[in-house]
Amino acid sequence: MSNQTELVGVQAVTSLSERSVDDSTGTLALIREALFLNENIYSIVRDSRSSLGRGFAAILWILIIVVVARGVALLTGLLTTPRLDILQDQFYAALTGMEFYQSQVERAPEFAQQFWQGYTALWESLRLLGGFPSTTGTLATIAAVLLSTLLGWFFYGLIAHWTARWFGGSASFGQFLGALAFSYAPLLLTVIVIIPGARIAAPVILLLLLVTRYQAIKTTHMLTPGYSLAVLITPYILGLTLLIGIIIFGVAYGVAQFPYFEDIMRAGNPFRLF
Amino acid sequence: MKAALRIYSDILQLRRETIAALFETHAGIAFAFKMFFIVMLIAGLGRWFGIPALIHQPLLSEEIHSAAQTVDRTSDRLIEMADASLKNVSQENISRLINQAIDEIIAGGIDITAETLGEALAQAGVTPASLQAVLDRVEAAPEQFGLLAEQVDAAITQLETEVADALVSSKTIDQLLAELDLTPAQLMLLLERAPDLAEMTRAAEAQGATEISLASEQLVETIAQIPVTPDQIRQYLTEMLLTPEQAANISVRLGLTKDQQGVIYANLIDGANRIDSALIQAEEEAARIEPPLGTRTSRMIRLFGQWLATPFEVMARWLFFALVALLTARLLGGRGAVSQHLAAVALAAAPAVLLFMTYIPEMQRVLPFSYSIALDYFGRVLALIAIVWMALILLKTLAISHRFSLWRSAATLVVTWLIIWVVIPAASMAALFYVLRG
Repeated sequence: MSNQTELVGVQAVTSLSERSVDDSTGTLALIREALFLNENIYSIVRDSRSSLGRGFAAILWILIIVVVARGVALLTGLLTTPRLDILQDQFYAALTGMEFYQSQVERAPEFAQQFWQGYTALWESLRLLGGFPSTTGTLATIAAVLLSTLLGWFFYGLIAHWTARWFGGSASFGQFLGALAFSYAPLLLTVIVIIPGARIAAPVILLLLLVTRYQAIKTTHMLTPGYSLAVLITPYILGLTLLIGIIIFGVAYGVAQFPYFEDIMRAGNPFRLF
Repeated sequence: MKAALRIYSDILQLRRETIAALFETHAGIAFAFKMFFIVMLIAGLGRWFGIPALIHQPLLSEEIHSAAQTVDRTSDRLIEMADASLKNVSQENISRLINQAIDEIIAGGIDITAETLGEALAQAGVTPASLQAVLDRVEAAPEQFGLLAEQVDAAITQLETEVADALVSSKTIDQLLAELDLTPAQLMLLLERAPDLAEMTRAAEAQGATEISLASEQLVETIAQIPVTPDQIRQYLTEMLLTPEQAANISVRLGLTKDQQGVIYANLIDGANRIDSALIQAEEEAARIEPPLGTRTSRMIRLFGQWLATPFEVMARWLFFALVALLTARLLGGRGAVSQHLAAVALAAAPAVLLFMTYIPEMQRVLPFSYSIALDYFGRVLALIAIVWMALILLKTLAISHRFSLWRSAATLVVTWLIIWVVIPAASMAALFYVLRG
């Protein structure tokens, strides 16, 4: 009985429709498969005639969908959140009607422009902090996503590819970049923000990106799991080291501008920190 | 659908063959992820029990409206109280009552102070509240009023002495009256307070004293030395001996004319109206800044969004643990791929529908207190069952996906927990210590 029950279960599993993926599979279908962590698509992209072209098309599709989703999210957000713009205008009218403002404007005509800029920036910050939709915030997010994705794709790909080759990887840079582009599929999960109130935490996207990148590296360069992991984290370690170096030297430069700091430190390093 | 339910049932039963078959195909792995999402969405349906609370939650404009009604009721009550206390302080009443009180004081030979005046007024039916309202309108405070009374007392004593020394005749008295602008009744009242003075007056009249001018000059000089001016005395006496005309004067001084009463009322009502109109304006503004789709509709839409994000909330809590578990499983000899491992973790969420009640929000505003507490605790019991069941499935699915034993599977979870909560923090501290101290 138990064997028969199990057989029924296995038959149920085999009846699940398996989507076959090959070179003829469309870019969007491959992106969908990448989202479901199907490793095979990376080898398909690697082996296709124009890996880089396919990869570039994939990353463009992903970015277009994400950007459009952000735009729609702004609209739906504005429809379902209180109209802060009315409050903003009223406070502005009240403030600019005050004697203090009038006297400042009389004294310095450019004060009006500066005040307006500062006031607008303050309200944008309040919107961002309060989670209210704003055009400026949305545009800034879109710009950040576009830049970070495209630059990250290229520079991360470059460092990871060199590291993979050092470990014995076999793919070319174009093949690897093409496959790596499909690893950005988890970005599509951010489409959920179209529905007001729906959020996905940034760490979830970052961790899923790690998973898909690992799959892309392992499959494209045909490395062992250990080396694949090393290739995965090397660009992050290098980037973090560079960032720490910039911060340390930046602080040193800033502190060296103080005239007395040098004297104090030369006097004897009072707390023996260094 | 039937196949999906069949597979779901097998997962809940920890059937090895079915779970292993899922890990063999990409369709099976995709099924695991889809099942995770659907199960978490079913569990998240508990959020929809918050709809009644969302509907009943007042809008900002409604809260302001209710505040305005409270202010209206409060100001109405204040006006009623003011009205009740001022009712006793009408012009005719106050003049009559004060007159009566002063008569009693003078007749009783009691020193006129603020306390005695107050007591007398209270006995006459003038309440402290109404008296305070009246006295507050007086330029001189009650203490000053009493001080004035004391000064006048002293002045009268002095006056009595001087008059006793001077030769007072009826002409003198007339002149005194002219200087002080006192009515005969008022002066007589003064003189009556000094019996000797009255006697002397009569004696003087009888003697037909001639030094009238000198006496009157002396008297005037004496009065001038008293620290009370004639105006004050006049005023004081005016207050003390209330004729209808003098009562009218007092009412004016105390601010109790009908006009001024009207002003008090108008001020009160005007204040309430101003607050009212401010609240009405605030209510209109609150209505203007509502979302274009309406606040309640927006709340429903946001609730829908929160429900849709339930699987991602769970992922945010568990994905890091799952990835560290993958590394640990590999270190312990596991051979599962990343997708198989994550599918194994996703399958463990199958009993999560029992977590449904943990997503139900606070129901104390909608249900009786005992029922809402019962709902909460029963939900926790179901959640405990779900957690134990999920742990068992996870042990099984990890063992199958990585092709090792259940004991290794358990060791994987324990070591993962240690890595996250012990090893990583300790290593971070050590690295930081090394960098800072060398």
